[in-house]
Amino acid sequence: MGRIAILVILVILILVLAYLWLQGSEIVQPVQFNHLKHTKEVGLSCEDCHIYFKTQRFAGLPSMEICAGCHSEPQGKSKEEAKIVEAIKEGKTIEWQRIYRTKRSVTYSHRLHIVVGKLECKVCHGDIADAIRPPRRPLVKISMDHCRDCHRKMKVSNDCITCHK
Amino acid sequence: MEHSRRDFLKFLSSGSVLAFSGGLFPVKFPWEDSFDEIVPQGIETWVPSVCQLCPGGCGILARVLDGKRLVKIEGNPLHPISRGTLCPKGFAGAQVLYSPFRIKTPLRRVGEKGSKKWEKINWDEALNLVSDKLRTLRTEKTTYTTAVLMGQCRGTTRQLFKRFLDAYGSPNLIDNNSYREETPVPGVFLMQGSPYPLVYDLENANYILSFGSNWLESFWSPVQAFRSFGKLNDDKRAPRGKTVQIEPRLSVTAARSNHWVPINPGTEGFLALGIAYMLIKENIYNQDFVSKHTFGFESWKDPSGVVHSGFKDFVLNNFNLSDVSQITGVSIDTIIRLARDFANMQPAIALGEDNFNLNHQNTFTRMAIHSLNGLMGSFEINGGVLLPKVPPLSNFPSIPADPLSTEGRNKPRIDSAGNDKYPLSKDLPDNFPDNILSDRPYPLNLLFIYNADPVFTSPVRGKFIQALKKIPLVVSFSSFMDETSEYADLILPDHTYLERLEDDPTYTLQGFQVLSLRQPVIEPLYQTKSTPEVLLELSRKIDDKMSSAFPWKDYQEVLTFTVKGVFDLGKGDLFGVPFEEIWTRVLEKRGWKAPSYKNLEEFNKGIKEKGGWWDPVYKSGEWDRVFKTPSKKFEFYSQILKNRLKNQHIKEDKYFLPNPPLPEKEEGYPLYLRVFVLHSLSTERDLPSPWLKDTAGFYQKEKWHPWVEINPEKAKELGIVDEDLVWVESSKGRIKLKARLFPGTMPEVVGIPFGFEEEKKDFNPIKILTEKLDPLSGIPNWGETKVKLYKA
Repeated sequence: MGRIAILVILVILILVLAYLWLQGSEIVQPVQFNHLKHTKEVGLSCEDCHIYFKTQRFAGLPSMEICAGCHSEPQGKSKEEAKIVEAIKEGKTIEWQRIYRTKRSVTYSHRLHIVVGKLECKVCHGDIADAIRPPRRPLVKISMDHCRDCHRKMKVSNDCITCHK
Repeated sequence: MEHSRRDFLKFLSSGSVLAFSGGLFPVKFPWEDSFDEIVPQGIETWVPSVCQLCPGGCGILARVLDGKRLVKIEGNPLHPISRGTLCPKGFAGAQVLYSPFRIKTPLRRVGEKGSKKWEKINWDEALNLVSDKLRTLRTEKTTYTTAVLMGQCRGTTRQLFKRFLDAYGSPNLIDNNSYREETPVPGVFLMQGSPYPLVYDLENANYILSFGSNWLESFWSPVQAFRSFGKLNDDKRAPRGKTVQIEPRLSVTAARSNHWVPINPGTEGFLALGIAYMLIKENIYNQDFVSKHTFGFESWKDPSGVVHSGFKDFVLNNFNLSDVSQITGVSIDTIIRLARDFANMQPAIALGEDNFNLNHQNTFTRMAIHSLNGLMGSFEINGGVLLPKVPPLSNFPSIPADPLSTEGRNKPRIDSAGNDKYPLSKDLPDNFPDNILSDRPYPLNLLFIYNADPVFTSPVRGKFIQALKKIPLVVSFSSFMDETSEYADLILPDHTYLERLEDDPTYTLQGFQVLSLRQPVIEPLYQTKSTPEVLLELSRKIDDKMSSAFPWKDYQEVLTFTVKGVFDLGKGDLFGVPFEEIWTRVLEKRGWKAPSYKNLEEFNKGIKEKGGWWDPVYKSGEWDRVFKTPSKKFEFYSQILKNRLKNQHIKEDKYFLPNPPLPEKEEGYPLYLRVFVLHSLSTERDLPSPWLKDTAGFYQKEKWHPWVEINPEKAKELGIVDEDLVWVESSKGRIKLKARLFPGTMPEVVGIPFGFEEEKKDFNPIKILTEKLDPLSGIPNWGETKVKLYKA
């Protein structure tokens, strides 16, 4: 009896943990932004909204001014767009959530990778430009092995201090 | 209660599940800092500037967020001195800027001098206090009773200080620079006649024979020294050359060198002459150079028929290997090997410059070391000894005629530099307090202190304190409350180097001229003011004559004026990538030029954007410039010394040849004290950086506080064990330190690091260093300090 009970408790525990893990690591954006529409239909480039990736370490999440450039008036009938239009009208800020984070010990620079290294966004961000809703976790899992493989392939220094500085 | 194996396994498995899941949850605990708080975000800019934490002059790039927050300092990849790298000091610059010990507003003393009681005043009030005093001295026609004690400072700021004193009417610009390796050393001056410092092309030399110069730890330009060492050992299987360190202590340099030759302290000159003996005996010296470019090698007869002994006979008669070996404690085999290597591995350099003159070698010892360079002809060649030029800044227009200032300027100097007592001295900062206390040649009324901290660095610190107390008005420009500023009457705090606009002319180890621009990376954090600006404002406040000598609106205008001199030179180019360097060199050597700027405007703009200008060409073979001696040659027999000592009627030739004295013994003090400079603290002043203090003693694993190194055998003899507290006592005083047993110290030597902050603790080795000055140059003979050691 006791043995079965322990087994059941363990299984339940594992299931609960798995559920929590899946839930907890997911990031839900306040607005279900459609990348595909903006890139393919409207013809915007990544830089139009993520304005810093060619000049700074970070790419930058779009500010309300950027959204307001087009969405101060509704452009369509989407419910998601309506949230943005309303936020602009009320002077509120939409808190976009960062999905990609590096460890504190890592120094990563978008400018170095895009301008100097001439990498495409999709090397790390996958097919984000074709996504119709925001992904809840990174489309490409970035690990140290991932970085080191690419550095090796591109013949860039793999010294510790290159990133951990 | 009993536990079965099963219980244990259950416990283990549930524990591991929990531990594993903990790693998976992106749970943020309340005590964790948020990522964004730790890593500041903002729009970054990289501002090129120049480090000033040592005289090296490395180019830096400061990473500034939103134009107001400095978060990182890195090397400027275009800068020819640092080439994208920095030493630990350079990186620690941010801690200097944000140090809590900075002085934030002008301060006026309210209590007794040294009582550390201050009141904050505003800049107008502070400047009026100084200008009133300056005006009074001018009305009383005692302008010469004003002096400036100056530390590390070059370029336009130095010129401006000089002009200020010239126009005001005082001869007293006293350099506190005897603590910098970069300053010209008297021994070299006697043989070459040049009053300017030399550089040693360490990067291209194949053999570096260092006599106690801790060049891999506290060199005047550490980044260049590190790079040279790297290039020398580029290929691990077949390094290009060798480095040898001759020193009584296993310093960082000794540990990194191919050979460490422990030597009895103070006998380096004898070893150098022993090597010279071998070079001459085996006929392996550079005979071509010696015959063409040296004087006093062979014995000769002067016009009056007197025969003079030359260097060759002097060495062959007095320095045979067995004697030298006995005096120095270095085996004959080693001396022979060193001599043969030195001759065979050309280009070779004998390096005698030691750090900050802390273990100042006697002038004749220095001559003996430098004579090896003369024997091998290591001058004006790649990998040899060079005499660099400094970028030519425009000279200021002449000062408007003023009989008062002319009279003041022509008075004798307050430090008595250049007098018969110290015939080779240019500045005598360590004689200065003596003169103040005895009112010789006149009492001093006003002292400005810029970038100097003599109470921390001078062996006559006690006298300095008394002198500072005696001078009616002492004005310090320090950004930090250092030990000298504590005795000031007024503090007019300068910006730190990261907030200041300034030029910084210097040179590389290959003798290339470099002009870097130090520009503010952020707006000043506090109510501080750039000292050159203060000088301009004071000149306007004193009187019309002073103000007419300084017709510039602000310091930027002065800088534009002086830097134009470099543009007018019509050579070199702005900093660039290595390819541009080669291109400029190829063109310039053939008489062409294609600089990356077309006019003065573009030149000024380019300097700001890239960090500066340089000329990657060294014109070698200008013998008249390099050897400014009466014979226009390298002098083994110093005619300069003979001329300076004319009044003393010395007949014997050995006084003018490299003739090092034997180290003296002192009754009751059996041990030699060797004060060494750590890389992290090698500066004239204490740096308020925890990072640097945390990396202090690499081999001893000691940090934050100094220690005394003792040979384990000696310690056993004295009954001292590791980490005991001991007194180190000299005839001057005693200090209490933690003893560390270190087999790298010779038994008769003890070592103490220099440069730790004091704060009421008795551990500044300055307190026990001898106050004796070198009889020729007036530089403190610190290396001659003897001590004894006992348990506290």
